[in-house]
Amino acid sequence: MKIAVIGTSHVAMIKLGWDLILTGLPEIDMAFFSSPGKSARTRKLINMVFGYHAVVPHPDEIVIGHDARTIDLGAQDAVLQVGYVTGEVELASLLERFAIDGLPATVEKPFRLSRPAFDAFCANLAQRYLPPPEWRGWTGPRLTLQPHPNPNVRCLSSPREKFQRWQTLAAHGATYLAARDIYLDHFETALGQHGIALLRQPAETFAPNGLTLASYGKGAMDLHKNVPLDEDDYVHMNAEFGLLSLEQYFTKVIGAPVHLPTPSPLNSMKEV
Amino acid sequence: MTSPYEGLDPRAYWRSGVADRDPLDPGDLYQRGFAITRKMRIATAGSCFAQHIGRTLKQAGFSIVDAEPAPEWVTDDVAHSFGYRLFSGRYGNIYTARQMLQLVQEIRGDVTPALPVWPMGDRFVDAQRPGVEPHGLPDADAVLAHRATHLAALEQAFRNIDLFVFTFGLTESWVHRDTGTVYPTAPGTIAGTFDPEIFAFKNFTMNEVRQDFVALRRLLMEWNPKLKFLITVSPVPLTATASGKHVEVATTYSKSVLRAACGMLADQFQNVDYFPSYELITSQTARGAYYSGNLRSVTHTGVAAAMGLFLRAHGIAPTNAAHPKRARAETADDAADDLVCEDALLEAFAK
Repeated sequence: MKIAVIGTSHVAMIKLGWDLILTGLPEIDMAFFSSPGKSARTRKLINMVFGYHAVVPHPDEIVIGHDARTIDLGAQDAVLQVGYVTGEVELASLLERFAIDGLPATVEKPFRLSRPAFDAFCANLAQRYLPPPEWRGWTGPRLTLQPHPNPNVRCLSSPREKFQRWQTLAAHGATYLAARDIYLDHFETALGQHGIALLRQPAETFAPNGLTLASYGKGAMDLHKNVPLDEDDYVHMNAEFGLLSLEQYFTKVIGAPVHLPTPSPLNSMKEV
Repeated sequence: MTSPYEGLDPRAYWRSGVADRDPLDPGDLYQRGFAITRKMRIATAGSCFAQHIGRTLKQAGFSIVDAEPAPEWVTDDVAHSFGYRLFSGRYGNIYTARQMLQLVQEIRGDVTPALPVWPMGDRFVDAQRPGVEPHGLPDADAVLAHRATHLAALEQAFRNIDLFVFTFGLTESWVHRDTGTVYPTAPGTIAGTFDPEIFAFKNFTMNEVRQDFVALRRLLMEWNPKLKFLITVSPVPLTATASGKHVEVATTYSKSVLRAACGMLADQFQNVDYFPSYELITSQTARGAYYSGNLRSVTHTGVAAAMGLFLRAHGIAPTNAAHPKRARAETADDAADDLVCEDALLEAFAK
């Protein structure tokens, strides 16, 4: 089975996880295509070929895990796109203002939102985050989207603006997790209508406040430089997280009963 | 001795003011009573035609208060289906002055509407705004909890407005016999059950309409003594009448009462201005062109003509939506009825 794992810098966790088990799964041919940084936004999918199509390379263009500027997704049996953005900003703004019927209440909110209205809003939001038309309704490889992991709990002490919405969401703890599940149900339904599967963050990786347990941030790697990420990187996850994701991917999404071999610690820091 | 009708402005004479006017030219039907500016914080309420007014003012850059905003990323169709973005609060259509008065009295804690929760199948809705939760809520407590936050949001908003825009829609209403509580829809239309022992038909008189608005004005001005009012009459005829009369006769009565009340109010109070959207849409000059194929719904062109007239009178260039010449070509059935109108549901009861 040929599987392409594409996406942003978050592809690294899948790569790290895969490196732990690849020798035990010879029937799977897994290719990686990762582009960190702003240049990733210039990648396009044209005729099932994904990557950098511009004749003149973007100055920040980086491809990790693949020896070409593009990858033919049509030649794959399955494609896993990692690091997909799903709408946490909108969910955070909603939870700040509304108490949603039926969800655990934490703090007083100025407005109430009925469950039918929340469902309608979530379905609405899900449509907004569907991938572009060229990613929908594939007849060849099975496309799966994996949202980027929630940052780990250490981001709560960060003064950086990018973590403010996560600090807001974490303040709602159980409410956030329940709301997120409902939203992702809608997102999964919306994706399913276009033949796309959703790979959720493994349940065991969540802290009670909805962020990722700090342990999954330890050992996260910058595959471009092949060095461990800085202590103040809260968004990238390690091989263990990647392994849990792959386990879920193989069993729930691919549907093939893949027996995961015991991870080899020696492989965990293997070069890409 | 000269006649007092001699030498008047052309708009004073039927021939020059109406008969000689181009069919879709609103002319100078409206002379503003006071200036309305984009700095004003404006609240809108009323019948479903009022939704056009709020939308147009917003598109023209006026500051329309939204006491209960939906997240900005929610699309209009979804927001509207739950009562968001239709008016300045999620109160749905308020067809009568009495209901608007009752709402403000309830916000102040002066009245508590009778039978505030109506069943809808195995769910429950707010009897005062049955359309804002189309799927209902699981129990009566939830309805009351939602209403409490609704009222709190409205109080905060209404205390901080400079202009209140109200469109009078109907005189016919349904009331609770024992308390006089008025409802926006007849029980049994969207929710609830009609029991003639409990509910009664009420057709408000001109004096009642006028007095209700006078009382409403007084209460709102307690929050802001400088508050101004813009009032209109919806040109949309009744979908159905419970008066026993022909619906066309009942419509003329209802609109006449509302129009007369508005005239008296605008004449009586300097801070009340009347905008003649009713006259413009129903004008003989339009030859019915402002109504869609059902002869009831107002077309996009009609809305654009009315709102263009309003904006020009206030020195604002009409937006595309409010400019009759830029409005898109429309068919006879191209009604501007992307509105949420509970009264239209009465059509379903016709045999």
